[in-house]
Amino acid sequence: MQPMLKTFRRHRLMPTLVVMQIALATAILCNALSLLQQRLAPLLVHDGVAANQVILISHIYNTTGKGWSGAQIQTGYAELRAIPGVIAVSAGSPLPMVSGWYDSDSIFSSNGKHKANAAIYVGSNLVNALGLKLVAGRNFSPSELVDATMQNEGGLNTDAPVILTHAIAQRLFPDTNPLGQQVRVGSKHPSYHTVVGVVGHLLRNDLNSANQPAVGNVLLVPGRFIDFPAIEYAVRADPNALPAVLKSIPVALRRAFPSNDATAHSRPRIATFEAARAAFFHGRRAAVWLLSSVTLVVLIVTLIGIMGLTGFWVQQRTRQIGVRRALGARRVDILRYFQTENLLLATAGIALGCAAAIGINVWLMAHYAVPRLPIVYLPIGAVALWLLGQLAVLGPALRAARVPPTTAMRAA
Amino acid sequence: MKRYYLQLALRGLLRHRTQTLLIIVTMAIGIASCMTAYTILNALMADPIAHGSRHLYLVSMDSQPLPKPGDHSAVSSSPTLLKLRDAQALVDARKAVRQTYLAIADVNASTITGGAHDSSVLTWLTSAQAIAMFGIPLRHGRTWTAAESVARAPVAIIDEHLSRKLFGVADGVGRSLRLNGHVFRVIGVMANWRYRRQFFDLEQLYFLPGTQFPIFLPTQSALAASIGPIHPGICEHSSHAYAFGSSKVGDCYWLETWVQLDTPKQVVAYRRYLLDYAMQQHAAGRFQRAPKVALHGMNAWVAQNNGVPSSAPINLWLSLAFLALCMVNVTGLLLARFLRGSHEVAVRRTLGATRAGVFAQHLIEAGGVSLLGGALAVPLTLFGLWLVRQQQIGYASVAHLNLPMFIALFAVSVGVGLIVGVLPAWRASTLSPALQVKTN
Repeated sequence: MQPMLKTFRRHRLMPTLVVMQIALATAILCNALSLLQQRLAPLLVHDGVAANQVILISHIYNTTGKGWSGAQIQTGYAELRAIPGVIAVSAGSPLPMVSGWYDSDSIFSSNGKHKANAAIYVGSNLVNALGLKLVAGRNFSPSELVDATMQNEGGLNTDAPVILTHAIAQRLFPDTNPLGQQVRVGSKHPSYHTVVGVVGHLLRNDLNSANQPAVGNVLLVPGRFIDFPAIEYAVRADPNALPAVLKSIPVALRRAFPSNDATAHSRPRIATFEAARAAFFHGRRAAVWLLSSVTLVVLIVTLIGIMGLTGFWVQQRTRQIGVRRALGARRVDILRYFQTENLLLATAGIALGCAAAIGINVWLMAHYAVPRLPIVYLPIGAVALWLLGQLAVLGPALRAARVPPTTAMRAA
Repeated sequence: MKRYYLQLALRGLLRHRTQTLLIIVTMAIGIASCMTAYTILNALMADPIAHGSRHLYLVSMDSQPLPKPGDHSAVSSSPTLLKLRDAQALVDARKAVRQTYLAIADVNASTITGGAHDSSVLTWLTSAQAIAMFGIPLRHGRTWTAAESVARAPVAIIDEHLSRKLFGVADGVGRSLRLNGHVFRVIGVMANWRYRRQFFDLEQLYFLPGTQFPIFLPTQSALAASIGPIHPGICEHSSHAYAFGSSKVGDCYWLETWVQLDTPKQVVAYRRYLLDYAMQQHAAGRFQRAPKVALHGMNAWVAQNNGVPSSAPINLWLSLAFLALCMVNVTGLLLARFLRGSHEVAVRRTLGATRAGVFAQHLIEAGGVSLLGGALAVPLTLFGLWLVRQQQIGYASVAHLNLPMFIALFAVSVGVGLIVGVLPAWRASTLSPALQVKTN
């Protein structure tokens, strides 16, 4: 240890450059990984919707200045339901993955102890039409459907029962069985809703950095739409019949919603859930690619940098190595010496880098909507750079270990 | 002497080809990532319109009704949206240098015979001074007159692109087209204009950057042909709320009013005028809320409502840190290379080369490497921007490299080259010749 520190003191430039590289790499790596995790997390959450079965029809607008009547919406339902191969249909608003608009609010448990923010999906038969899996309780019964109008905020101003996702049920009722409990939506709606069921997974359609940790918080309300100016449908079909159903949907919609000159140009978007999901997450996926390539390039550049520097520094000390070998040092001693030296430099760099990472994160938090850097990224970054340092030093150190003792004598 | 140094530098570069390549690539990646992030951020922070937005203001006037007691569904007031009646009154009063109101519609445009070109086109419902106020170049014809607007004349201004598409010629003045089935006559053709950042309708609609609005219509004429705004804003009769595309918007708050005021004095005077107007209406019982008016400067309004997505500056900071890493890296590699050649330096020094000469020689070598890195950064930046444009993310289309950016890129790479070169060059020049010659 002592001779190593002495070497650092005598040749300051090389070790300083290595330490700086490692410090910068640690700081970048920790922050990039944290940003990466944020973008990636929602992509990895199970969306709960039956795979390869669901088609979403988004936004059939009524442009005459009035809403679609309950009868028209029901006709749309019947036409879609009648397509061969269709298993279930539901009118809904909003629907997951198609972000026409959002409806989200704070949900309170009836005892007022717990609250959580959730997206609210209203629909006539969403559990079946999206193929959601109930993990507790039951689906809504037909008699529980309430009228959902613009005036009663899509049924929220009624005492309709609700179904929660497992994620929000756990937040609101951590110690009790959520079934039979009551929730209140927002602070301005006076009515209470009884929880009749819990579904495993479902994603909200209003993802942003604030509600990201609550990505699976959704509340389902059984609503029959009346006088709604824009309506959406979810259609679940037999996976084999899906292509045929996709083709039949426009025809069914034209029959149900006869076009006047104003509706002709607002064609609804019809897409499989998978396609809608891919489009919804496109920006996120792009960011994930960007950040992972940044991470990778940072690691490569650091590796090359340390390798180049150490290679030179070891070469410079060939004579000393020869002397040490001549005085009885084994090959493994030489190898260990350079590995330990690298470990020391890396540790110094990592310590500096962690401090810088926290500093950068604090600064970013003050200026942009960036969450706090989770402390777990510091050890991850540290281990990554320790390993990287050892990897970079391995080649030069092995070369040094092969230096024959005679080198010392020859050079002198 | 300079030539000799250049020769030495070139020989140095060629001697360690792999390492030289490594240094160049490292530099290039660092510079390119920074330039890509900076180009995007710069485009996102640009002035909303090319013409300049310094003297343009959005009118804010609290004219919406108070919520009915017990009505939970009432949306909070957005005072920048006015009824047609009030917007028209402000425009007709001509108290500002220029004034106009606007809203966005989505219409079906085709030739008179219909058929081939039948497509949905975004349209500004506006008034006559919009063209002049937002600096939109009018290529042929004219804008409509106040008389035409009052008479609800079916006239339209279209852009060159749409004119070519519909009529096959850039100058479509005098031709007719069908909008949602109603015949309109083209009286003016404007350039294919795009705003840089959306400034209008920010509270209601969001358009991707680069979205084009190829048709401008007089608002009254459009309404007369049942063309209404995509989003009617807030309506007094809630049955009309969310009446997408409806032209029955008499009791809706849906128009933004923009004014041009060139001096601070004019701003003060106009605010006074607005307050007077609001007070009159309040006294007459039309405005229920207490008179409250404001003028929002376009830049401030856009910054507030259409802020730069936070990922853009974060990416720039990330890439700056990355560039710093690359620079430290290159400094190290250059240092290693220069010190490896230290016996050569020693020989030159003993033969009479000055310390400054050795320093210059190495700095030239470092500068050469970074220039090459900068040159390689150009295609890499273009590639980076191309990659960004391939993504269907909001700001993808603004990602273009322009001349000032290009020059900045070269300045950056030369600067970076000098910075990374100074330390190793200095270290090489301070080597003691006697010691080096002896040890080797």
